[in-house]
Amino acid sequence: MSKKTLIAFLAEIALYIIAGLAFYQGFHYFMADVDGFKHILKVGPMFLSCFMLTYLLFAYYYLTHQPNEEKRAKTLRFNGFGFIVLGGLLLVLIIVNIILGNYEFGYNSLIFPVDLILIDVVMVALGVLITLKKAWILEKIPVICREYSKPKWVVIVGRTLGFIYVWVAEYFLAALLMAPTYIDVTTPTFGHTVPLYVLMVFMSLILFWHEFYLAWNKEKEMKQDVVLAIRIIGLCFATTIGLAVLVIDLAIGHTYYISHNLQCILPIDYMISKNIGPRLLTLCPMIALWFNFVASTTCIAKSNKPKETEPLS
Amino acid sequence: MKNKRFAIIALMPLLFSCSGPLASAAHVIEMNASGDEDFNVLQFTDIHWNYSTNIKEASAFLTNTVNVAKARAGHIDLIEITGDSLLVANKKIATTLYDLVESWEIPWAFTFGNHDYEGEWSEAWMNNLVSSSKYKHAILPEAVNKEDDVDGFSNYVINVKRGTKVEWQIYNIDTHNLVEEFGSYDYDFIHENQVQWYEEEAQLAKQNNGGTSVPSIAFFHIPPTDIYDFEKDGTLVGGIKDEKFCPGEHASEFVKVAKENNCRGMFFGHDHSNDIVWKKDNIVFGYGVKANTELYSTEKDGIDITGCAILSLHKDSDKFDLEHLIIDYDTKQVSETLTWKEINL
Repeated sequence: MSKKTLIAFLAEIALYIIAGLAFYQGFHYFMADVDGFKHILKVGPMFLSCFMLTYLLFAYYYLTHQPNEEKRAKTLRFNGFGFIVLGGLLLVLIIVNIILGNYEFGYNSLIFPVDLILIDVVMVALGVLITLKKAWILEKIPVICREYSKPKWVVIVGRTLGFIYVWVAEYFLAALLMAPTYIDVTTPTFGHTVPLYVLMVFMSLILFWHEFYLAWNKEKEMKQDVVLAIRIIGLCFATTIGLAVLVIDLAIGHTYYISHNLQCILPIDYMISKNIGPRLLTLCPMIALWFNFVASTTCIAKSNKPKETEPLS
Repeated sequence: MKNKRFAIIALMPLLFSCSGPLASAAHVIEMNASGDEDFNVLQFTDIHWNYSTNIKEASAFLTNTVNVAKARAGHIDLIEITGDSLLVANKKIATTLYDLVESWEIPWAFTFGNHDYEGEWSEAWMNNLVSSSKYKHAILPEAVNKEDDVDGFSNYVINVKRGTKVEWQIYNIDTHNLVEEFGSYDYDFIHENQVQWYEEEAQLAKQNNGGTSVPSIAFFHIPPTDIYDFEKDGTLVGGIKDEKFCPGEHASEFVKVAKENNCRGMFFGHDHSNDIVWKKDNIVFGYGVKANTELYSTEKDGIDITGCAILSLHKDSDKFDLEHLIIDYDTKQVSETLTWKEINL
């Protein structure tokens, strides 16, 4: 892996973590008003500004994973425009809320609402930079991987699942990083939550490995690494099943352990009285791994050597 | 607390042989009623501060409500907050709420609701906050004892004394959060060991009172399943029922045991669109009035039903008055007053 690709890969991980933390906070803002959205003028710009960093993450991902330069340029143009429009609109709404006295300094975060303003200013600035310096950005930001040819259904299903997976994984990684604010190691059932904490980090580790694998493979033969990938997928799948069984087993014996320890990171569960969080933590990796297994084996069956659509950058 | 209780039970024969009053168990707080006046309790419920709350407006509403209640009743001796004070929020918002309550300089008691742990804190942090020494008027000292094995945190009784006599007992009971069932959740209830604790406290008070039961009232968040009896043979006192009752599906023995121990009323929150009050078997069951517009509330004549309830516990009597003050959230004016005198007659 070249130094440039490695830096691009590490930048993607860093952006993923920052976007995850913002998404976590934004999701809590969203949940605070979800019952009827009575304060949508106030809360809407709050959670949408936080979600903007996840939009930036996806834009970065597509910029670094497009199969050819034409698509990269198109992605950059489209998202540059999106950053300016959405960031600008949110900035206006935040200023309106400040003028109306809806945003009280320092309550929702240490520097609220300055943090929201900063996010939107950065988004608008990025949009302007992209518009003015498109060629320079295309040159500086390398391709992490050029997706090798896949059947159409693999691309569509993969992207749909990918969106959901990233939202869930980044949320729970951020939830884990935020643990010092809510964790209490003295509760008698703290030990029972460990498999869930492992799943929280495990989802992101699978994602990191997936990205690293693609970046690493940029300069290698695909076939032998697809076989390796299938083995790793199998191992991850077995680990997920093992952790899921542990979560269920512990829940049978200690029915209160999730609500006693993890209520603050699972607001949707308690809002609709359904055990959604643990299901997402166990089912998402299983579905994603199963899908990757099917996709990888399909690729092997389809072609011994995947076709590269364009020379690597 | 269990060890202390075993010790008390074991020492019962010895204690009975003494002429003085029996020692109180843990989780008992004593307050003195003044002069010949009623002991007035202001109930707030379902305040639900969260990230979307305008803290300044919400603070002004609550403070105004306290002042209105003070003017109405003459004085407020105790503020009872019956759960769901918060929703999805952070520590700063939680602390701001309790700082505000403390600023009124009136003793305040507290029970947890099912939404109180949804914020970015642990149960321990929340318990430590509400029992911290910075809150001089908070009544939750020994209750926050994680070592006891009475389920929940906010289980304690306030003995209202006039001179040396306990005239009333005010029970605060934790109705917890949610019962985890396989794949879903149901609202929790008052557990068996809490009922046992309640019965022991009531019996202890009776023995200290020369064998006569001390009248009591209870505050908690989630209503018991017994509230469905209202539709069968309860006697309506007043108020609004604008949504179906939402207790959990698990029955508790609490109402049955409370009835046997001279409980005169139980007051709760949880269902925001209900402030209905009724009687059954000489016990008054009453929803409080939601103290904020957050999450959801109900309207009457275009005005959100927000405000408070005031209970006036009579001197030398097991009777009390109940009043619901409906206060417009925006104008902060009293839009309606529902008063029920000696409703437990």
